[in-house]
Amino acid sequence: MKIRSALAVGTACLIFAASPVSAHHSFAAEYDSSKPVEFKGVVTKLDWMNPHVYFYVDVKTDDGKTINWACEAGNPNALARRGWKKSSIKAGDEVTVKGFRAKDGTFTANARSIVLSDGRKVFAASSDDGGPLN
Amino acid sequence: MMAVLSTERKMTRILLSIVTAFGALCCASLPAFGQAGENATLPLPPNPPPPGKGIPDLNGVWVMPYTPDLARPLKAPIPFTPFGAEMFKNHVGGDDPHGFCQPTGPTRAFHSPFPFQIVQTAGMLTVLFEIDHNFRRIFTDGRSHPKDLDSTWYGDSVGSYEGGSLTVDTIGLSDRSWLDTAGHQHSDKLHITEKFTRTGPDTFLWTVTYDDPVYFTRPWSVSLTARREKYDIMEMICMDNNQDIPHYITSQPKR
Repeated sequence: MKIRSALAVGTACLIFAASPVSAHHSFAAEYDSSKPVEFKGVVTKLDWMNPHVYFYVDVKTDDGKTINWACEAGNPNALARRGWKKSSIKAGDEVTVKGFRAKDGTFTANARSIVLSDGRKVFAASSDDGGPLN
Repeated sequence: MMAVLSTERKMTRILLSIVTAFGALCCASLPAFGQAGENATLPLPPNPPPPGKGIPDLNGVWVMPYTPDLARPLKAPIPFTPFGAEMFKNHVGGDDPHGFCQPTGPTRAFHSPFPFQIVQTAGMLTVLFEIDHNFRRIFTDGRSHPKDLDSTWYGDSVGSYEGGSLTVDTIGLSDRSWLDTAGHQHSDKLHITEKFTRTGPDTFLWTVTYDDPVYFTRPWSVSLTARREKYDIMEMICMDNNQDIPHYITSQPKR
C-alpha cells in the first residue's frame, strides 16, 4: 500500500513536472537544439502574457558589455494552473538560465531551466514542443 | 522461506525510499500549492442540464491530453498520398499558421493544452475554447450543410445525437490551418467526422476522423479522452505578446 502511494506521488510529480505548457509553435520553428546556452544575470523585465511568458536578463560579458537576453518560458495560463504567478520572477532577481538559442542568431533563448540565486527552480519550463528535454 | 520474505521486505524498503526520494525531489521544484493567481482557480461555471431526453450531457469544462503530433495516438503511419507525404516531408515548422496566431481550425484546439467549455442548448452545441478565446458552433437542429459553401477556417459543422453519442460532420474548410503542431496539413477537400461519447462521470471519448483524398489514401481516426477540469477556462489571446514572429525560420514573407 505504502509503495503504491509513494509510487503514485513519484509518478504524479513526474507527470506534473513534465506536463506541457506550450502549443503555440514547435521548438524547431525558432530554436536550435545544437546551440545550448547558459547564462547568469539580472532580470530586467517580465512579460506575463500569452502566448508565452517572456523575461529579459542583463548578462555581463567578459569585455564589460551587457547583453539583454530575451528568454521564452511556458504559457502563462498553463504555468498559473501549476501554481506559478507573475511574481515568481521579478525585475532585479538574479537568475541562471539554461536553454537553447534562436536559430536567427539573436540573443533570444528558449529557457528550459531557470534557477534563482537561492536555488529555487522557476517555471519548470519543460514544453512538449519537440525540443530537447530538460 | 523466512530468508525470502526478509529479502523481499528489504527490497520493499529500498524501493520505497528510492521512490519517495524521487517524488520529493520532483515536487521540490514545484511551488507551494495554492500560490497560483486566482484566474487559474476560478470556480466552474454553472452546468445546465442537457436539452432533451437521450441527449448525452456534454456540458462542462474539459481538457484533452495535449497531442502536438496526431501520429502519436494513431500508433501507425498516417496514410499519406504521395502528395501528402511530400508536403509533410517538406513542411517548415516556422510556417505553422498558429505560430502567427492564425486560427487552429475546428479540431486542433481540442487537443491543445488548453481546456474548453461545452454549452449544449436546444438545436446547437457551442464550444468555447480557451486557446485564442475562440468558439465553435455545431448545429443539432437537423439542418444540412449549406449547398454552396465558401471555404473558411472552421468550416460548417452539423451534428446529431444518435445512440447516446453526438456525431458531428464538418466540411467547407480552407486549406490554411494545420491539423497539429507537427505539421500535418490538409486540402479544402477535408471532411471531418467527430464522435463524442460519455464514458464516465468526468470523461468523454472524442474520436475524430480525417478524410481528405488529396492528402490521405483513406480516412484515419484518432481517439482521445477528455476529462473534466477542476476550474474555469481563462483568457488566452495569442496576439497579446507574440514575440516569436520575427524569429521564426519560415518560408513565409517576413512580417
